[in-house]
Amino acid sequence: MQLALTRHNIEDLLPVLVIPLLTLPSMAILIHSGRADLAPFALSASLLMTIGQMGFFVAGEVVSMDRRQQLVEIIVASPASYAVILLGRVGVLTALGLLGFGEGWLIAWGVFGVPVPIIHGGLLTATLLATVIASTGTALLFTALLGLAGTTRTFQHAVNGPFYLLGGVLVPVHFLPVWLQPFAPLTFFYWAAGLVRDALRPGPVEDPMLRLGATVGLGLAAGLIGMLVIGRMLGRLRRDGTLSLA
Amino acid sequence: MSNIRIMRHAFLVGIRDFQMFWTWRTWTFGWLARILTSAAIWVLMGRLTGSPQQLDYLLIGNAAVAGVGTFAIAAAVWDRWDGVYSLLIASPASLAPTTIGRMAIWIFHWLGSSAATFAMLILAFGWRPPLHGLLLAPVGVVLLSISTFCLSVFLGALAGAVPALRNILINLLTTAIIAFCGVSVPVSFWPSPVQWIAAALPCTHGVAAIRLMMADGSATAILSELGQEIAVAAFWLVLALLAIDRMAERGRRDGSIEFG
Repeated sequence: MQLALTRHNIEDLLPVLVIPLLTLPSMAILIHSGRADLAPFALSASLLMTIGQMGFFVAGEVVSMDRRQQLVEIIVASPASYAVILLGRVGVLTALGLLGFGEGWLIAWGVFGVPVPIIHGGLLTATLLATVIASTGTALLFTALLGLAGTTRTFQHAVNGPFYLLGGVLVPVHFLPVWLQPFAPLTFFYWAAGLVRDALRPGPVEDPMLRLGATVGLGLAAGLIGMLVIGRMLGRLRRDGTLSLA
Repeated sequence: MSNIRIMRHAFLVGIRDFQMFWTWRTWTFGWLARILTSAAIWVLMGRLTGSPQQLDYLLIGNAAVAGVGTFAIAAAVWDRWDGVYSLLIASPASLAPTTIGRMAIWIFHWLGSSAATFAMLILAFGWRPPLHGLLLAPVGVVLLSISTFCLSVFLGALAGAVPALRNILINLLTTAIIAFCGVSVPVSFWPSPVQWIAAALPCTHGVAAIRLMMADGSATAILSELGQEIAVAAFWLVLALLAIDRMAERGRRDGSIEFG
């Protein structure tokens, strides 16, 4: 259903259409300073920022749209779990974010003539999959907090930037101030970005299973909390009657 | 005379838009947080390349255009959302002063974003641009904001015809500015057709002027770049004025304007 809704609203695809364009300036900077070898950084950023944006921005919109159209009230009255419905819908949206990686790769190859070799294909596939799971979980938590709390817009604009920075999606974490570095592994971006870059680099990859596990694990944890929050909030809404069929 | 009065009232509407969208608190903590992180990303990117010149280049460019281009095009469409568009079309005055007036508030948003970025880079990241350059830079920032605004009015007129495009246009505009207009890499990095387009886009000459100011360039060179930025602004303003009423005409003819 979400696919059908999204097809009718080009706005939802905005991140998929525009975020990979950010590959243009970042690749240009890298090539201009003679560091075409750093292209994988631009690609990991393109992938994770598109997925993240789909997760945070669009998925956040799902609940506020549902509220506006008074679907929440109907769903709450039905026996199905709202969290499960959201999980499906948010999952579709984040999966669409995968296109960001392909687009970034095409820009690097088509515009700059830098074909980034995919060295560890299996690892890359696994990483992309893990990223979708992790960001779906995280997005669910955000959806719960944003959508049900109300003030969607402000948070959408403010929240993701710090995460990208902290997760080192474009610039590796060891360039951050020392006191910030210990927090980076708490975001799944940190693990996913590292894995994407390693999959595009020759040489052996350290502990791939552990790092994939960390990516998925963080996502699942966030997703579980998200589900709990949604349950609690709906319970509260039911109790104080802030739900309305106006 | 009445055009000025219309524009002033539309500007007041714009101020209300801004207050609906941001409060002082959300602007400071939400928007500035976003500006701060993008500034930090450019700082880190510069360090990643390992070249101090590249870092300096990035900082000047991105501080000058921080936030520029955001929201204004969307504001051009809000009259349509509010259902007043059909009334405006029916009124004898041109659409131009209302649209321009309502969009204009966002120029201040851009100027504020740029100033905040300069301040943050200096205070938090230990960036030390030359003082005289810093004192002159606001002239360049004001000019490039105005010319970006003129282009935004033009794009806003197009978005008035196809409102769903508004956010895509905003993103294309900001990406084009950051990629092609000498913000992140010199314009000469790109193939010559892109360079010609960049010369007609806002910010290209304004940013070049600011770089000259920072690097002790000659006064004539600076003034020439500023002059070209003004020419670019005038060019887009004329196109915008032509486009706004053209779009309204089109809507009148094909009946795509409705109440609601």
